[in-house]
Amino acid sequence: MSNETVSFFPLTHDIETLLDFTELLTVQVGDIGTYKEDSKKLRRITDNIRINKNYAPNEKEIVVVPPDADIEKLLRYPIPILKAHEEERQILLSQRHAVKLGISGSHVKKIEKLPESFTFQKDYRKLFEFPVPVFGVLGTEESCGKFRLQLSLKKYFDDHSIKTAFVCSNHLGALSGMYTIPEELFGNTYTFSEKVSYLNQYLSNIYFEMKPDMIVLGVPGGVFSLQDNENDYYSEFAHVFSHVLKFDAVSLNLFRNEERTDEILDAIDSYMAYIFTTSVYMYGVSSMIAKRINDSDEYEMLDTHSYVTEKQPCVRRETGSWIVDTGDMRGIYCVLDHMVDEMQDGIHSL
Amino acid sequence: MKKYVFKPFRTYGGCYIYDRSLNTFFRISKEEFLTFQSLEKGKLKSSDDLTISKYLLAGYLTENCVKCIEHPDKSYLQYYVDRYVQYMTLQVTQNCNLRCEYCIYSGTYENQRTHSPKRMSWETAKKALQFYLAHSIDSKKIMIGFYGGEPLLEFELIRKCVSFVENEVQGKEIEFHITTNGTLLTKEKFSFMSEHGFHILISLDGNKDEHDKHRRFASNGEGSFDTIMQNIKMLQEKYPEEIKKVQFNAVMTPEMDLACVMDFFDVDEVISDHYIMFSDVATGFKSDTDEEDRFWTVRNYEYLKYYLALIGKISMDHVSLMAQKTLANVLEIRSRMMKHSQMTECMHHNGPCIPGVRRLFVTVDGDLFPCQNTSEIQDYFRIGSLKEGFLLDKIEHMLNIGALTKDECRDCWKLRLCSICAQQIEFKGVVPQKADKQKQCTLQERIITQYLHIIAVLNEFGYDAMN
Ligand code: SF4
Repeated sequence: MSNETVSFFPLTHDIETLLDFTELLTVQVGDIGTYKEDSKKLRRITDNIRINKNYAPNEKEIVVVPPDADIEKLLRYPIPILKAHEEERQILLSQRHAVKLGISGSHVKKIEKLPESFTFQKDYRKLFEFPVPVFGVLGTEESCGKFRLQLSLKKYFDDHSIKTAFVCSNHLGALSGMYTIPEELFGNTYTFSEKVSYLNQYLSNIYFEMKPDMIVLGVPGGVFSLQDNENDYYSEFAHVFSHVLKFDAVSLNLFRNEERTDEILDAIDSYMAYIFTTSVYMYGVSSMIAKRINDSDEYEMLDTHSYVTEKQPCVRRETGSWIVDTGDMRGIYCVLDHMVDEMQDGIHSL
Repeated sequence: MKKYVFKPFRTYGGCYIYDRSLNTFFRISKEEFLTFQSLEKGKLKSSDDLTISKYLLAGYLTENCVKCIEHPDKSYLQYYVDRYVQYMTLQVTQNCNLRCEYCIYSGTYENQRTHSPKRMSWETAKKALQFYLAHSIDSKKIMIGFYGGEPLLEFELIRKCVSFVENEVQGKEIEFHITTNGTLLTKEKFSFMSEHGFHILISLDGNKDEHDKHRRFASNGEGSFDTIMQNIKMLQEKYPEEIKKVQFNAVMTPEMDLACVMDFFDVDEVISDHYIMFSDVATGFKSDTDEEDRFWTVRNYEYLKYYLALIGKISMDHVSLMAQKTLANVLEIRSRMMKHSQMTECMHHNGPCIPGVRRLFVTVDGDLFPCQNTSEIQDYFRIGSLKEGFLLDKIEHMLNIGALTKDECRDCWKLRLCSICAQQIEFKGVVPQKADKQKQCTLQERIITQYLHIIAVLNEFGYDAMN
């Protein structure tokens, strides 16, 4: 999808993140609408994007319902989407949303970017070994700001003209030209080993289609579970990916309010080395915080991005890994410069 | 600074040590108990002692790592007040048609306002609602409470607020709450409230004799029990399903005949199917009764039955709702301890919620307070106004109330179980002082020690939380 114009409803956290990187978009942004109670959010969006308090995309605009849109809210106020559906305008949304909203048809499509011709060979089990470095973007938990980091990485590699295949953990990544992970892998259709095989074939397809010098892979979900009552699917994707390919290095996003003493980071280092057979090259201190909901055991993930006054200084630990604020572009560039240098000098495992 | 923070305690059935580093306790021998007591009193050095080494080797009693006492939410306050206000309560009137003796507005409490004819204007209510919507962008739900005095005296204002909010909110779930004395409930008001999904809480202290002791009409001094029951019966006939969602709150006072009250809530055919909450009368209520002993005998007897039910000796059916509800926090503390969570360098005791964020109370004049229980006449608790917005420094002081006793908290064995919020601290000056807060520390010592004993004894008798 390129040079088309998209409009968003509703304005969600991931759209706000995406709009901080408009230079990466492969589409034009038209109208952005949201619920009345959230209209204050619209004021934050940059000037170069048209904002209309009463969401009214023009006829040519594709209506995008972001994957992180709360389904309960959509069901309470589905009018803009149902109207677009009635008018048979092109709508991009997740399968989950489409089912809940009860919309289907040839004008309804998924938000995704897949390689041209890919079909999963169920009985083919041999795993392809990637001849280029693979950098994984992981997070301790779901919603700990990986999307922002992946966009920053894309910006870096684009700026440095390094031919990189990006596979984004967030389907909105498709709007900035990144490949996405097929939605069918998020359900129970495939067993663990089938998912490993599927993803290996899928990524090798991307590799042969693009012949990149490097692969950056965003891993959905998290590697630990903070919540007592939720299990984040037992970090399934992280485990699947650790079998799909060998990561040469990874970044691990931490919540801003997570403890990060040397003792804790050392323990994480060992955990990552044993479980995922990889070292953490970069700890990303995200602007997301995990807030315990009142006295319960549940957490809510909140983004303090525009409230961060003091950035986490970019430092290198004695162990070699970096700690960097994911809102600090200069810090990220500095770490990636080092990583690329070390890659060329062959110092790091990359 | 103490190197190891622990508390030895004993029951008839055994000796224990509470280990703050793991927020748990475990059984020890009598000899070890004496050693830990000596260590606690400073008569023995931890470095010389073998008992300590034994537990250190087993992974207990990690060294005290607490360097600062600071609330973990302090760094994100600006964000929270700007975008994450959870619940707003509107004081729609300061007036009430009852004059309950123990009411915090009855004039018998220090530092509390009294009833007055002041009402909230529509302009103020609208501003408050707009203020809340603008400051709750990241909150999942919109939750609005109506409070008084008696809020149903201002029913028309409530109606306007409801329609305004429903018109302004498209995506989020909306919840309305009201706390009422139940005397002004009519079919019309009830049907409006149930149509708009109100959570209704009626104050009812028990059977007629007990309820009418305190809850009387302002106009003629008569008890309000009959009026409330008539209203409930009338609504039950007309709205048999909707009325089931109504909840009741009973305030327990020392002179009440608790046995009668419990009987009433357990068996009364009109009330017993409803959710009942029990709360203790506000501290500061002075009752001149010699019935207090009897009240506590009955209450403790009920508690004993509850413990017997937990260890499977009697059926939970024989335990009053009062005991089950008021003792729920013992089990909650137990489950918190079961997690064996690690400590961090920066900690704060439990208790304070984020003032103005978890709850925001707006008075008839548009002043902002953390909740309806805080004093409206002590400026310390006024955290802003609709005109000037939030006063962040004041919110921070209240949130970070642990700073008042930071040196004590760093070494205090109760740090992870203690629960003190600013509202509980009685003080005279402009801001609470360390000595004011330490009165609450003494109370915490008593409560937490009691909880530990209860949990230990329950374990001794084979209480199994999983069943
Ligand atoms: S009891 Fe007092 S000193 Fe101990 S943790 Fe609580 S506030 Fe701090």
